[in-house]
Order: sequence, then structure tokens, then C-alpha cells
Amino acid sequence: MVVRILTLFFLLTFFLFSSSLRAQESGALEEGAGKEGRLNLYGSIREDEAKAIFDTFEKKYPKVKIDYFRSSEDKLVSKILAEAAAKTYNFDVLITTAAYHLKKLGMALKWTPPSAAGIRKDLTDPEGMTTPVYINTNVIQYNTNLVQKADIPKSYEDLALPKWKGKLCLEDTDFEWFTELQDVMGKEKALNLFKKISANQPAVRNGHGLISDLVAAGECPIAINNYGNQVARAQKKNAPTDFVAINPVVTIVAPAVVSKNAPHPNAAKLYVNWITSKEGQEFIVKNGGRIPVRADVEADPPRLTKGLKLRVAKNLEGKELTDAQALFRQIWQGR
Amino acid sequence: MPRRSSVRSGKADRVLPGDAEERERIRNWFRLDVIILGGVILVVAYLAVTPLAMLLYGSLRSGFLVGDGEFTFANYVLAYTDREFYALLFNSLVYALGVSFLTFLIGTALAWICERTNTPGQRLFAMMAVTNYIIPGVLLTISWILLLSPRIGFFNTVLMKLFGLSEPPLTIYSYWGMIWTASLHLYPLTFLMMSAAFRSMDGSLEEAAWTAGASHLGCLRQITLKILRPAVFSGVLILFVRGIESFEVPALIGIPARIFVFTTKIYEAASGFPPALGLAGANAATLLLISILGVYLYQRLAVREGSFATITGKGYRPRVIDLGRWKYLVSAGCALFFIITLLLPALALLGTSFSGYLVALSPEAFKNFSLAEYRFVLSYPIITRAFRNSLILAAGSATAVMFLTSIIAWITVRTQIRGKWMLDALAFSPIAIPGVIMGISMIFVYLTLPIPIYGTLWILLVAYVTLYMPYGIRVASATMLQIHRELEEASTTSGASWTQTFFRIVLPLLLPGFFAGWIYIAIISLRELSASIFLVGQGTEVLSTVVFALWDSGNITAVAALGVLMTLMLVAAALVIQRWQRRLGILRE
Repeated sequence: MVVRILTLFFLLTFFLFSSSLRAQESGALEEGAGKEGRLNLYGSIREDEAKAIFDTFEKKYPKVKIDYFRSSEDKLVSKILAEAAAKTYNFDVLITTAAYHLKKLGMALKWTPPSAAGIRKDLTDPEGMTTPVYINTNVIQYNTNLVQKADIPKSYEDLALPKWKGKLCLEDTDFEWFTELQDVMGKEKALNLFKKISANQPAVRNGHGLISDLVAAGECPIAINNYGNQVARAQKKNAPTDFVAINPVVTIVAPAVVSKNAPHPNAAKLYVNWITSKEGQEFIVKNGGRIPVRADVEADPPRLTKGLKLRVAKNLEGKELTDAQALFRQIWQGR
Repeated sequence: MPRRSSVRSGKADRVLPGDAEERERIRNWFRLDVIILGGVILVVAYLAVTPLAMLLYGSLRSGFLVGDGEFTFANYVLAYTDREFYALLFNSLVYALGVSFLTFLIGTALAWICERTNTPGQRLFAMMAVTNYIIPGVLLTISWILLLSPRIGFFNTVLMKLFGLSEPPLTIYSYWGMIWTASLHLYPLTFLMMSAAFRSMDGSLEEAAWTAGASHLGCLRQITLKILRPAVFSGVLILFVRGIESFEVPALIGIPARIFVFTTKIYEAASGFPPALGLAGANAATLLLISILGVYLYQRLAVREGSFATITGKGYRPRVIDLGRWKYLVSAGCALFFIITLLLPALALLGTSFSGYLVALSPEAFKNFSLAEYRFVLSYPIITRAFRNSLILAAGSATAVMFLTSIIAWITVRTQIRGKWMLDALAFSPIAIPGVIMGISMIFVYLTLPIPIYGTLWILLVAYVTLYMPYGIRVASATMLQIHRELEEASTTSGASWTQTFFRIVLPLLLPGFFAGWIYIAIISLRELSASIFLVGQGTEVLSTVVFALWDSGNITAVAALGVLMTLMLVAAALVIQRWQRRLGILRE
């Protein structure tokens, strides 16, 4: 009994102490960020979705104004590299799937936000340099008006059926999905399957939001691969589209990286802490159908992750990446 | 125009011996003159030479940005041994040839109708024919994607319904789609060139043919176009160059169609990760070579054109051809052409801008009416910032170009400074530099030299000024030739210094031409995409790159809303200019 009371007491003090420590840290961050007054955020979330997120953040922290630079993941890293070569250190935070490249390039700050404690352990970075913000699940997206119930593909093999000729599309940077499926199925089997699907002449386009819009508009009845959250966002706008998830579902983590040379380091940390907090995660789910990284926040609709076997894709770097790119282009774009 | 006396001999002519005060003043005048002229020569040389020198340097180095840099031919080896290279060359040539021929056809037909026939409504048609040139290529391309998409494109849905087809008959994602869209963007150039040629040609040979009993069409084919052959050749050639260096259409249509050309390959190599800037540089050098060759041949032809002397200064207008009853048919044909190429693209943009997500252009598209996208576009800080940046750059580059080129034109027209032809050639040489190459060269220059303008508006300004110097120099020289030097002589004999003469006599006289050039350069700066796309960063976004980025992120409805606003703005500007031009009687280039 005494032991139990003692333990409880001990835990309670520890909890109080640690939470006050956290409060202290975020208080200091908020003050520092207020003085900096600005945050240069680089990311891939679409402008219309991002704007609502920033408005919410700025309402909570009115002293910080977010300045956003949007581009696709690879171009962002390439841009940051060029800026570093010109010695203009502009970005504070980068949030995109390719952000992990900054670790190797020596531009990432080693820092973990207090709110990271609530993030699912299978998603976190053991080196503590990147903080997961949202995940992208790789699913088949289709147009519900143009694909009859009976025709809904149940496997990737179904996409090789000749009836889909000229009706498929694919995003041109889905290298992780492409590589993971080779690991899952065996390289030869996967490549054979891809070649068969490629014979249906999928339109290869850039941008997952664009692919989702094309499917919703009926320009492309089925996307061989797209992000689950894009489908969820389109559904929120009542667009006629849905998805099929094939286990194991290749999952890509989009992490936040704070710049080592951030001009507004406190604002950067304040933002990363907020976006990974319960409040921030609930907002990005409600706002744009993003799939959360916290264990205590549920995806909307829950079937985006519930009951699925998520397989976190490994980060491609160096030769592995360039080889994957070359093979991808050879198979899907015939070049 | 005789250019008898130079600055130097002018001084010798007028200075009376023994007049020490006068001599002293002239010496000062001369010194300031040298400083300004020397400065301008240095600036022009820097602008024209550094990008290309650094492009060469960059393409000969390994690991630009990534890894260790050393001298190497590996980029060229990689570029030329890539099995994709020959496909690139082939695609680029097919596309550019297609564009130059289709553009020539459309432009010449319209120019002939508007200049030489009595087709009703020809004045309106002539105005509409240049409208497409004002609209940024990226918007025109997007509106044609909306119209010609295989499944949701307006033309396909109409054709499928009309003929009960089960498969869409047309697709924009093909050579034809690319050539068609690019030609619609470029034909105003041919139209203007051919209109000028038709207007000023000698009609006596035609008269002879008619007297000999030739039909109108026969005469057009056998006589008129043959007389104009030099103009035709050089027109086709310059459009070939414009086609091979174009970026918007290959990027937005070619990439999804899997048709890669040099410009898109360069963009992909330079902007992807890991960035392959060396490889991009090697491909850029190849493209540059093709472009220089094209411009060189064009110049040669333009010189030879003089020897044909079929276009003379006779106070004589070629006869207007009476098309008889056919004129109504031709008029209806033109009207249909403009409905298809101007009205429908505008409607496609408008329809998309009013609906919440991408839909096919149909009555239903307007049912979902909402102004949400306009609210978003007007309230989104990046877009409003891009508006501001674009206006600053347009005004800045137009002013800088016209100022620089006015001084250069003064030097080349008025003085006998040795090697002045080189100055003219230097200022004109960037005409052969495609925008994409300017973009990548600027990266090489300002990531290597210790001039900290990367990531600022300055780097864009430098790129624009370099790209548009050739247009400025043409306008400025033409204007300068029209001003007689007596006026300057009067000024200097009355005791004005060189600077006073230049700023108070020469510049005001140049002003009308200066304005025309200024406005032209401002408009083309507002449209610029292919160089800007490499150079914009956070805070320096311009309108065209914002449109491109919004399209890239799939935000098509916002693109449409922004496009509608931009089109309105540019058309309004063009109308104001037109009224202005009429009032000032500015020469039309």
C-alpha cells in the first residue's frame, strides 16, 4: 500500500515536473518566436489547404506571421541546396516527404519537439533530426462514376486488364512506392507486373493533388497510385472518387526538419511543436484529410489507416535513389 | 543617313584655337562622355558575356552543388551517350518545325486576309490576331488543356456526342496538341511580320499576273509568296528558333505526353533532386548552339533580303483584292477561327474558375457557381506579392533596357567610336539565348561569383534585362536614326554639356519610341516564365511562376481564377496602350 502510494506520488511529481518543464520550454519558444515575428516555411501542402492551417496557427500565436513557399518535394530540396550554395539561409522549416535528405546534407538541426512524445513510435526518426508531421498512404484511386462496382480493382494485377487501356494515370515521383513493392513482391515479379500495367499506357503526371483532381474530374478513371489523404480531401469536396488500399500499404512519412541555420529558430520550433500536438494534428485531419502521426488522433475517414498493414517506406538516398528514378522512368515513361 | 562627324571630329571642327575656356569645357564634356559610354559598354559586355561563359564553365564541372567540383567532360559524355538524347533532338526538331510551319500558315493567311482583301470585319480581325500574343503562354496552354483533354475536354465531349463516338477522338497530349497550342501562341508574330511585308511590297508583278489572266489564288501562290520569299524564309526560321526554345507548352503538355524536348529536359535535370546542373548545362549548350545557328542564318537572310529590293519606298499600296461573294465566307471563317481560339479558351478558364473543382466545360460547370476561388486568389499573400513583384520587374526591366539601349543606340548611330558594331552585336546577341538557358546560366553565375543576388528580385531583373536588350536596341536604333543630329549640334553650340544634351535634347526626342519599346518590354516581362522558373524563391515569386506552381500542385480552379484576372489586366493594359499610341503616333515595331 505504502509502496503504491509512494509510486503514485512519485509518478505524479514526475508528471507535474515534466509537464511544467514542457510548459516552460514552449513558453520560452513562444516568447522567442514572438520576437522573431516570422516563419519561413517550405512545404508541399497545397496553398488552399495550407492557408487554413496557417490562419489557425497565426490566430493562436498572433505575433508570428508565416511566409510559405510551396513546391514539389524534390524541387524544394534542390532549391534549399542552391540557397545554401549562395549562402542565403532563408528557410526555417521544411515539411515534405523528401525532407530527410537534409540530414545527409548537414542542414538539419538535431531537435525533438516536446509534443513528439505522442507520435507513433514506428514513425519517429531514431537520429532525432526529423519529426513526422503526416503520413501518405499509397492507394489506388478511382472515379466512382466511371468505374462500376464490379470493376473496382481488388489488386494491382487487376490494373493490367486490357479494359483499362488509356484509362490509367500515375504520379511521376512515386519512387518509394515503386521500390517498396519490388521488395514486397520480389523484384522480378513486381517489374513484370509493372510492365504489364504500363502496357495500358498510363498518363504519367506530376503532382498528387493534380492526379486526384484528374481522377475526380474523370480525365483519368483510375490512378494506379495516389495518396490516401488526397482522396479524402477530394471526398470532403464531394468529388466522385474513392480508393482501394492493397496490403501491405506503402506508407511515406512527411517529416519536418528545422534548419541548422534558421533565421527564425524559435518560430520554427513553435510551429513544429504545434503541428505535431494533438490540437495541430486534429486540425490538419479536419482541414485537409491529412493522415495524422499521433496515436491519440484518428484519421478521417478512419479506414484510411484502420485495419491496414502499413509498411513505412525506407528513405532512398544517393545511388539507390538515382537507380530507382532511372528504372521508374524506363518502365512507366519508356525513356 | 550620313554620319559625317564623330564626337571627336565634332570637337575639332568647332573649337576655336586659343579659346582656352571652351577647350577646357569640351575636355570635361569629353571625359564624362567617356565615363558614361565606358560604363555602358562594360555593363552590356558583362550582361551578354558572363551568362554564356559561366554556362560553359558549369557544364564542364562535375558535382555542381553536390560533391566535389573538378574539370570534366563527363556531363557532355553523359548527355550525348544518353539514349534519350537523340529522342530529345528528334522531338525538339519535329516540334519546332511543326510550330514554325503551322504558325506560318495561320499568320500568313490572316495577314493576307486583313491586308490584301476586302473581307468585312478585317480591322477587328487584325486586332484579335495580336491578342493571343498578350496572353501569357502558360495560361493559353492551360486553357487548351481544359479544352482538349481526352476525356473532359470540351471538343471531345461535343464530338463524342455529335457522332456517337465511344472513344475521345482528340488529345492534347500528342505532337499535334503541342504544335497546335504553341502555334496559337506564336502566330501573332508571323501575322505582324507578314502584314508588314504585304503592306509594303511592290504590286506591279501581281498586276502583270492579273493582266495575264491569273486567278487570285494562283497569283498569291505563284507571284506574291515568291516575291515575299525572303520574308517567308526568315519568318519560318525565327519561329523555328522560338519553337525550339519554348518552355510552357513542352512542360505542361509534353511531359505528360512523354514527349521531352531540350527545354523540359534541362528543367528536369536542374530542378530535381539530386540536381544535375552539369548535365543541364551540357544540354543547354547544345540547345544554345542550335538557337545561335538559327539566328545566324536568319541574320544572313535578312541581309540578303535587301538585295531583292522588292520592298521599296514607293508611295504605292498594293491593290486590294475583291473576293466577291467569297468575302462573306472568308469573314465567317475568320469569325469561327477567333471563336475557337479566343472565345472558347476564355470560357474554359472562366467556367473552371467558377466551379469548386475541375469539371468538364458544360452548362453544368456554371451551375456550381461560386466566387470562392477569386476570394482565395485575392486574399492569398503569395499571389498578391507576385502581382507586386511582376509589376516591379516589368517596370524595372523596361526602364533599364530602354535606358541602356538608348545610350548604345546613340553610340552606334552618332559616333565613330571604333568597334561600335561590336557593341551593337553584343547588345543584340542575347536574342539567341532561350529563357531556359538564361535561367540556368544565372544560377551558375550567381552561385559562383561573389555577388549576393541569388534569391532576390535583382537576379530576375538582370535576367530580364539581358533577355530583352535585343528588343530594346532595335527600337532605340530605329528611333535614333529618325532624329537629325542638327538638334544635338544646336544644343552643344549653345554651350550645353554632353550630359545636358543627352538628357535634355536626345532623350525627350527619343521619348515616343522609348515609350513604345518600354511598354513592349514591360508586357513581355510580365509573361516571362522560362527563365524565372529557375530563379524565383520565397518572396520573389512572379505571376507566371505562381500560375505554374498552382497548376503543378493541381490547384486548377485557382489557376483559372488567377488567369482570368491576369488576362483582364493585360488586355486592359493593351487597350490603354493602343489609345496612347494613336495619340502619340508612336512608330509600330
